[in-house]
Amino acid sequence: MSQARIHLVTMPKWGMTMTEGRIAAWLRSEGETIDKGEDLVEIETQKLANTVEAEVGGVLRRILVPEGESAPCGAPIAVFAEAGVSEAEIDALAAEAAGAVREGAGSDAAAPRTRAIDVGGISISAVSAGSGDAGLPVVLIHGFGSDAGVWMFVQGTLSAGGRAIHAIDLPSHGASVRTSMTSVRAMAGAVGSAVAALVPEGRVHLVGHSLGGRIALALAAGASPALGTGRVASVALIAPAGMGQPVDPGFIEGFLAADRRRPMKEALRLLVADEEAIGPEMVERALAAKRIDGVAEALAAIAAGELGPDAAGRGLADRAATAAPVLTLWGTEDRIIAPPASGATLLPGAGHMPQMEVPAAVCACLSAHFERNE
Amino acid sequence: MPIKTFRAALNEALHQEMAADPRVVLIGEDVTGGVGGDGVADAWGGAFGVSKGLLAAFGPGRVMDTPITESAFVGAAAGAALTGLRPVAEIMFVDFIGSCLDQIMNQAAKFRYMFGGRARTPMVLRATFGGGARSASQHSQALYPIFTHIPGLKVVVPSNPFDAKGLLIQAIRDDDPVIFLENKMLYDETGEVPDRSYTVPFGEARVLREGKDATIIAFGRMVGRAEAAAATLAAEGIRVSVIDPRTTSPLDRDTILEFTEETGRVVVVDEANPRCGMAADIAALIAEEAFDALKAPVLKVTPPHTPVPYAPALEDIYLPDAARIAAAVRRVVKH
Repeated sequence: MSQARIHLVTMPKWGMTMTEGRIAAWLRSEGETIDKGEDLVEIETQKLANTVEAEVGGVLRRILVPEGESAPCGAPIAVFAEAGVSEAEIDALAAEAAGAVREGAGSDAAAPRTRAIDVGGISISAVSAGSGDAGLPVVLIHGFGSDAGVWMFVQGTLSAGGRAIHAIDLPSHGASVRTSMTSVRAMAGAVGSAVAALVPEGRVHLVGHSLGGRIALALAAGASPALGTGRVASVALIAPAGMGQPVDPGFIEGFLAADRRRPMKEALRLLVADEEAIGPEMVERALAAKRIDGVAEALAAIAAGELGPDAAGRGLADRAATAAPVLTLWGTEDRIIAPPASGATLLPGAGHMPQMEVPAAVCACLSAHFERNE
Repeated sequence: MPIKTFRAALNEALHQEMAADPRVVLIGEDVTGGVGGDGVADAWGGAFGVSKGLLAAFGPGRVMDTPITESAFVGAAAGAALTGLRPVAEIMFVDFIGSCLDQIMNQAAKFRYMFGGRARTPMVLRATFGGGARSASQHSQALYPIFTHIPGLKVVVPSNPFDAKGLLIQAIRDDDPVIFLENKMLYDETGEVPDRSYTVPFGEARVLREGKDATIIAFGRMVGRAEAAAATLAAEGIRVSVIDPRTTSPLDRDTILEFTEETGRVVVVDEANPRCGMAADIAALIAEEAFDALKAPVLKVTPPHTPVPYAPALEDIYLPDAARIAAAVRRVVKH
């Protein structure tokens, strides 16, 4: 069986704690021809529900896990195959897959690992996926008020081919211990040291979302002595802050003021094109992060210092000083930072969080960008 | 995020608040570890292991064992709170509350009101509750409705490790007496718990899932069973919302009424006895405030109005389970 003729669709792993998923609905039927990126299946976990898009195009020959049933992360759930592949071959593959599920295979093979990196007394948390056997490593840098979990729908896909994908938590975010570090320069210093620890030698791709985009550019422009400049192979910016487009002050005010479920839900809805995508777990997570001692104050300081109207163009100098190739992605429906008239690849159907809303499109753009630049 | 048990989450909350604030002290039976025999300190970390390591970290001046005298040490905690400490007292089983109810109901709960707001009573009273441990009628009750009935007390019933830590830190920092009730069957449950200190506010329900067909409101250990019922119902095409109020006093009326308005069908799951319990209280709230939104009667899923039985087979059917909860939801959906 050649890999090209047959493609197994597996249960994704979204975040550290997901161990299995339940098939809520198959959106396509056996025998249908499906294009890459089309909606394929709705999957639910204890915490969230999401639609999975087809990673490859082709004929959906067999559904292995029916609606309503669960499978462990990494377990095969469907088979795509060319017309020339016999039913017997698919039967054999299905039997093999069922055996693997029974033995628990797949459940831990792709499991991300978390570590805490001590950079000069500050602890930066990183979630790493991928064997590191193929391609240059990648570091993902999230935006304001978020954490490494924002990459949950893309980190697995990006690392599937063996590429090492590290997602870090910025200071005062996620599991990175709070500091008084609230400027982009200071955060870039700490992140640069963390990148140097994660990738001790050789080149690295940096991906930054929103405020993380500014930090990625600052690193590419040489803000971190630990990392230097020559090691950044490329930069990808997703809806970056500081490129001349202002951040919606209404969102910042609403997010900072929200101390209960309803106002937080209203604030988070501005982040996405499809407001129904904001589920109760996301609201709870956002509130929980702000309720860690000292975090609300740190976020207010970051917003005041780096996200006001005076900071709208503050990343342009770093952009000009960056020698590495830069890819810019932007959701057409972004209500937090409006897409620019030119210079960005626009992603339809996405708001400020393309990596959550159109993960397959984001992965395709990023993978091509990485391959072009190594 | 690190995965911890409910027990470890509580232990971490105590460690962090005691380290952060020298006014926080622990008092109760066997809280220094006890039961380890002569010369063995902190063998168990308390009857349920929640206070393990605190004696070594903070010494006997702040972690105090008492004789079996609930009336004395709960009264001492109330007095210590009045005079500037922030005591955390532990009643091994909430069923023993009868011997110190005066200290709680007539003293701690009344100080602030009767002293014209000039007194504060920042004490926490932790206690285990709930059936399922084969501990018979005097060690298995779910008495939170009794405390909820008394103005001046705040009452917390955590359902998971994350909330357990955040709510206990909130309780210790609160200036009023807080009754903090831990279902003993949850101690080994695991979940994501941040290492750092954080709070979960009182009076804010957690929404576990949102569905349009019906709303399940559940407390403590019943939240997990409500979730299991919701998963079963989802496979049948019935989409329910699941709400965990987290505290019975204050009660998040807004969220309860919001979801009643959205779904029109409500099932309340309560481990307490059915008369004058949380299920009855919430059903009355909805009848008063959201009658026009209702498409079906509010159903209560509770134990029967009897003591908790000792016979294992009887105890198992006494407690609400996922099958009973799902059956109640199907009834309101079909109504």
